[in-house]
Amino acid sequence: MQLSRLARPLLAAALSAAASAAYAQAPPDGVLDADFLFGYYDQDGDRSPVTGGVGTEKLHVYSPVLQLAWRASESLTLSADVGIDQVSSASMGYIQAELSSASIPASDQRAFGTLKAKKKWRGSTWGLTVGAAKEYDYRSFSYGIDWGLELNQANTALSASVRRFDDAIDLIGIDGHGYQGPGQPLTTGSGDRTTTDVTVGVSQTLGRRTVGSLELFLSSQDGVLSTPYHEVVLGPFEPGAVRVAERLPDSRLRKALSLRVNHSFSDKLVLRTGYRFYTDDWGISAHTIELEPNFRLPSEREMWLFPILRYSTQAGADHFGAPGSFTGAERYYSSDWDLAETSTAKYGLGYTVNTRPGQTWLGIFRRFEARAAVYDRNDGLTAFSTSFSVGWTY
Amino acid sequence: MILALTGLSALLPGCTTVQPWERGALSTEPMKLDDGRAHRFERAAETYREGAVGGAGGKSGGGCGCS
Repeated sequence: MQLSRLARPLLAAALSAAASAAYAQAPPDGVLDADFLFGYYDQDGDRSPVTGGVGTEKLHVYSPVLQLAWRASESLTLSADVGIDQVSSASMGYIQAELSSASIPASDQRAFGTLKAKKKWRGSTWGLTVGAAKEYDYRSFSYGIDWGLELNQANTALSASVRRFDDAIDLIGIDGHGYQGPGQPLTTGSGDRTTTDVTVGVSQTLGRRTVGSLELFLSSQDGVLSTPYHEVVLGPFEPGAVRVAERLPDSRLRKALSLRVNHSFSDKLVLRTGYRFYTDDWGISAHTIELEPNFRLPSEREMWLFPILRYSTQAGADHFGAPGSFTGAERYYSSDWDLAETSTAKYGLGYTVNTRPGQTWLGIFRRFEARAAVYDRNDGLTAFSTSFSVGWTY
Repeated sequence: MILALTGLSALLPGCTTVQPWERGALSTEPMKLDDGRAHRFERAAETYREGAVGGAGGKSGGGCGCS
């Protein structure tokens, strides 16, 4: 009887440790993870900034991405991430219609790639990242460094990262060339924009069934922050009204604080929660809440089904105005509703499958994730997004 | 910054040392604090459609693809 009393918790601890080790086991050297991701996004609304804050916002984006991660040794991991977004936009078509020769396509591609090296060194993990992106009107180069440290038997993790983006932007005016409006200087050629992002964070095990993290994000931008082909109507909104290009400050400082807490109520129910506060020096502030209750499905593999819930409310930028609200005497003006006071709701469904070493799903995959969500903004913009990722390990 | 430090100080006293053999519930996929891979597309869309970008894993530089 006493033996039984002793054996039961020991057996439970041993099984728990075995399960934990199976999930947490470090892969052997030379392992290659390959993941293919695909995202589809469409939206519609009637407040396009390209046509002065009134007009179709119809947009479709198809995004295939390939991710590779090679664990070269116990301390070194190399990874690559490449993709091409195929974007079809009614507003691009509008600018194209303004041109006698089409220099802006009604659909275009955004190609991007990132390389990263991660190395364990003196108890910390260091990462170096370089990336590049190109679209019809800009070229971007980015580079950064990140650092991580685990403490307290991996119950506490500290992290920090700095990333810099150097963008070169072709200045395309509201007529598709360099025209910015009556009395405005022509903008031709190209401009620059730099962005420096700094992130510091801490994650903490808060108990046997709870983890949390706190992350502070700072971003400083300088250069061309206006989109020169976004129109603003001066004076009353009527046919023949004067239209000029949006004007926004040439610097911006943004701060965000994110808090996440995940709690496992049981082996079959895990609640993921998140809250984010955002503020910047353009006058925008925002609160966002996210909830994903995960329900485990009966299977030998780790399968979870979860509703996706997100709500965000945003105070608008000082420089935003509805069409027809500007006189031209203002220093800055924009009718881009992305900068307006809005609230948004997102709801959807997600599904994940993860396998243990030696297992597969559908005979070939090691991991799978799918998501679909509807996005509603209270100004009438609606969007739908669906995405999936499948992964192999060699 | 003050808010961040307050939040940090709220988290750190909870510094529990959970032993490796007690981490079964912490090792499941949804207990990871990072987003899943397929979530990045929604993050990107949120970045484009909300002026309050940043701090959510979305891209804040390097162009847009959003007009």
